[in-house]
Parts: sequence; C-alpha cells; structure tokens
Amino acid sequence: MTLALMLGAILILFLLRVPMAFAILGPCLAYLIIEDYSLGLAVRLVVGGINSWPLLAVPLFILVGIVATRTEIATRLYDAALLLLGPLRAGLAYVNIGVSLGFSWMSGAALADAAGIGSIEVDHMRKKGYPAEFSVGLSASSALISPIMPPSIPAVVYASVAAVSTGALFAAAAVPALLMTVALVGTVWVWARRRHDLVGEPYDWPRTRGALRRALPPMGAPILILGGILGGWFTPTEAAAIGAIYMLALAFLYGTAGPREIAVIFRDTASITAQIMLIIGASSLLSWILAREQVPQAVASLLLGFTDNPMVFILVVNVFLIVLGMLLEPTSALLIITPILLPVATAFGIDPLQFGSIVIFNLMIGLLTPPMGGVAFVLSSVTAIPVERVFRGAAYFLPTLLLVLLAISFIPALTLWLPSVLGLR
Amino acid sequence: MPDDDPLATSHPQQPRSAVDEDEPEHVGLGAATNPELLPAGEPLRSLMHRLGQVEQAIGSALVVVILVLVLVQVAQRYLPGGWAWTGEIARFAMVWVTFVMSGYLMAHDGHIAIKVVDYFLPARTLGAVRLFGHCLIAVTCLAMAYGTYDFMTHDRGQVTAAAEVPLALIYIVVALGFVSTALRAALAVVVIDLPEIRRGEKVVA
Repeated sequence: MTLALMLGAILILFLLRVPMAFAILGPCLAYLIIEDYSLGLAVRLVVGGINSWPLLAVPLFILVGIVATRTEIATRLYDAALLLLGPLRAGLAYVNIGVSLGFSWMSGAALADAAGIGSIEVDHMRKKGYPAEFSVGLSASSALISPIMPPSIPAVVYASVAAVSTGALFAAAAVPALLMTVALVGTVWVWARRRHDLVGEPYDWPRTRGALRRALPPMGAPILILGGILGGWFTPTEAAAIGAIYMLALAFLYGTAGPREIAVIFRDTASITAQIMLIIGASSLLSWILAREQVPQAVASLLLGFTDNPMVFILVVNVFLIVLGMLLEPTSALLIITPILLPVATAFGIDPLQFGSIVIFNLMIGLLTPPMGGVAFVLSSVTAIPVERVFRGAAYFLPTLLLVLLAISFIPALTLWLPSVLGLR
Repeated sequence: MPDDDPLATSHPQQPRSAVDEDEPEHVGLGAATNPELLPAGEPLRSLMHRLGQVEQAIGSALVVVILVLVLVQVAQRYLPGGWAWTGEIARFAMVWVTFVMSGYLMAHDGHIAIKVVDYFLPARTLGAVRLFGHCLIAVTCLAMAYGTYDFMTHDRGQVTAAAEVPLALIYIVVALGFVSTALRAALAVVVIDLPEIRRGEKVVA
C-alpha cells in the first residue's frame, strides 16, 4: 500500500512540473519515514548512486560534446558535410543526417546535438525551400543517433546499473546506430523522389577538399575515444578524459577557446552534470525501495505467467517502454526500469547487451513525442518553430525509427555481433 | 540574462558556419530563464547573485579536478608507483559538483522537469502548482540536509579508503547543497509563485 502510494505520488509530482529528482526524493523520504528507516540511509543511497567510477564518464563525455558545439569544431563538420553531400538532390537533408552521425561520435546526448547544430541545419534547409516541419522533424530524429551511437551517456548509465561492460555496450549499440542512420537516409531518399525542385549545388572539389581537410583533426576525437575503448587501451572514463583534453587542445589551436569561453564550457558541464547526477542519485534510492519491496520479482512472475515466449515479452516491453519514454526523462526511466526488467529479460534468455540497446532506443524515441519530448522542445526553442509542428515533423520519421527498433529487438546479431567479434562478450 | 549564466549556454549559441556566411545568429534556449528573481536594489538579490557565482566557480573547478585526476589515473599506468586516491577523489568531486550546483539550478529553474503544464494552465493555477512544488522541494531538501547531519554524526571519525579524507568533509558539501536548494525553493515561492498568483500573469522564469 505504502509502495503504491509512493509510486502514485511520484507520477503526480512529475506531471505537476516538480523537478524529477525531487519528485522521486520526496515520496521516497516519506516511505522511509513510514517504514521507520533513518533519513541518513536515504543520503547514503543517494550519494552512493552518484559515487561511481563508470559514471565519471558522464561529465567527461558532456565536456567533449560541449567543447564540440561551443568551438569551431561542429562547424567544421557541418561545412565538410555540406560540401560533400550538398550537391545531391535534397542534399541538405543528407547533410543533416551526416552531421548528426559525425557529431554522435563525439557527443553522447541528443539534446546537445539538437541544441548545438539543430538551428543551423533547420534554418539552412528552410532557406533552400525545404518544408519547416520536414526540416525540424529530420533534425529531431537524426539527433537521436547521438545517445545511441557510442560514446553514449545513456549507455554509460545503463552499464553502471546493469553491471555490464560499458565498452561492450558501446560496441553493441554501434550497429543499431548505423542502421538507424541508413534508415533515415532511406526515408529521405523516398521523400526526395518527388521533390525535383530540391536540386543541389554543383560540386566544388577544391572547396570540398579544403573543408574535408579542416574536418579531419576533429574526427581524431572519435578515433581516440572509440579506438581507445574498443581496442582495450582505456576504460570509457579514461577515454572520455583523453577525448576531452584532445578537443580542448584543438579548440586552443583554432583560437576559438579563450579564457572566457573555457570558463563557460566548464560551467555548462558542471550544470548539466548536476542535472543528470541528481536524478541518478534519487533513482538509486527508489531502486533500493523497489528491491526491498521485491518489485522486480513480482514483475518477473507477472510477465513469466503472461507468456513464456521471448518474442512476446520483447514486444510487450517495447510498447511499455515507448509509453514510459513519453512520460519520463530517459535517464530516470532507465535507472528505474533496468533493475526491474533486466532480470526478467535474462530469464527469457535475452542478452543484457541486446536488452540495453532495446531499452535505450525505446526511451530515446520518447524525446520526439509529446508530452515530454525533450528534443522537440529544444528544437522548438532554437528554431522558433512551434513545438506542435516539431512533433508533427518528427512523426513523419517515427515509423522508420520503429522499424529499426523492431529489427534490433528481433535480430540479436545486430547488437551482439560486434561485441563478439571484438571479444567483448 | 547576463552573459555569464551557464544556463544560458547549456544549449549553446552555435558558431557561424564558414560556408554559409549569411546564417543568422541564434539565441540560446536559456534566454527563457530568469537569473535575477528579486527586484533591483533588494540586498538579497546581490547576496543570491554572489552565492550563484561562488557555486558556479566551485562547480567548474571540480569538473577540472575530475578531468585532471582521471588523466593522472591514465598516466599512472605508464609510470612507476601510483596514487590510489586519484580515482576516489575524482568520484567525490563528481558528488560535490552535483550538490554544489543543485541550488544554482533551482534558482534558475534548471533542474530537469516535465513543464508541459506551463503551456496550458492559467497563470494563477500555474502559480499555485509551482508554489506547491517549491514548498515540497524545500521540505524534501531540509529533510535530506537533516539526514546528512544524522549520517555524519553516526559515522563520526570515519575516513575514505584511499585518500583517508574524513567522510564528514564529503558529506558537509552534500548538506550545504541541500540547504542552498531549499533556500532557493523558498525564495522562488516569494518572488515567483506568490506574485504570479496575485497578479494573474505568468512570471517569466
């Protein structure tokens, strides 16, 4: 009874715009008081949830992403993609996807992608005659490549909760992220067949070559980060630090990072780290309560009683997670749901790496849908396009994303092949 | 919004593309948040502003500490000897960043929340909803601050495993972070929620 009241209160507080961390903490404290636990236990669990070596990768990957967006680095990527893909029919749409793919190798968060390069992409597309809803919908959808493609902040969080190797999860997510990229390219290609008016500029090879040369040094960051992790040279946390220092060095070399800019970069990193970590800490307390109440076991017996078919289980989980992703911020949803569903998934014989990719993909789709729709709100803000039009634009790409989700849900090789080849599982 | 507001740059302004020189400048997302809640001339305004600056400076410095210590950890692999405390202090620095910045985020409505109600609730109802939320946050944070004090008094004299730093030093920052957040939530009741309810106009926060 106390548990049901606590969960109901959390949900109501979410809807009443109480910040997620405090919407979780408040009812959890009430639960502890009713159950006669000391408040000191709550503090120990909250701090313990944050005090983790693997999670140290989170602020460092945030730092990498912020350096990329606040200095000339993201612009160099955009210029190279523009000159390389711009000449195609509907080329700016491919540029949009290509830049998101390049950016995803440096940044692990969809919001950073949307806020950092979304406005440039959308404005440029609209100027060249692309419909506003299509432009902003594509930007929103392609922004989802960032949190799925390694290095991915949700993957770091999932790995710490699920006690799986972050490197292995990064490897597991790489193919789904590429598949998503190809699927978005395919959707744009189908759309562009009827748009004969969207012709590209003629190729300008000298400028393209120059832009590609300018984009080469930034592309060293993903080689350092992903090569270091997948090659077994560094842990993800260490690779994030090395990537951050490399990006800072580039920004200094380009002369785009003066003392003031550097101060802003570190303050931004501190702010976003605190936003995410406080939710992680609060969710650790909630997870402890759920474990004490044996919720994972209850959910497991409910689902195992409902079906013994892994396919049906995955389908049910997908529907559930999409709805959850629409209502909750992805990090908190990930932290709450992983300890509950992962043991059930394992009982169904689903690999934790595949399950992690499925969970992350599902929850990220919620960033495009009302009411939470974090990416949609950010894009609405930076492009001044009303949020309902952003939602409509993103809806055009949702079937594509759902198809990719079904593929990674029912074809384990898509997630497990690369970790196996690299000897990570 | 002052230029040095990190929330103004959490969703940063994009540098202009070298290819498309006529791209317009874009205003960052944080432009909708209000760092100065109190009326001009109010002494508390200056105090809160200074507190925010101190929190930002410490938070930024702690991110630098995390970066340096993790790099030292990598370097140690290739050097003789080693400091076991680097990883431990880096982890505690992340705990400190979280709580040092919490109050500042509260003052700027920067904590992650579902703000859909902002779009459809009338001003007075929205003010009441916010008032309820801020009161709940203040009470929760004070309870957590008390819990931290309780934890510290029960585990007096304990030190961390590697660096042998007193645990009280780690947790005092946590307690201060909760107190700062409670203070900002209480202030928001006075300077945002009550005026919104009284005037019936949405306060830009």
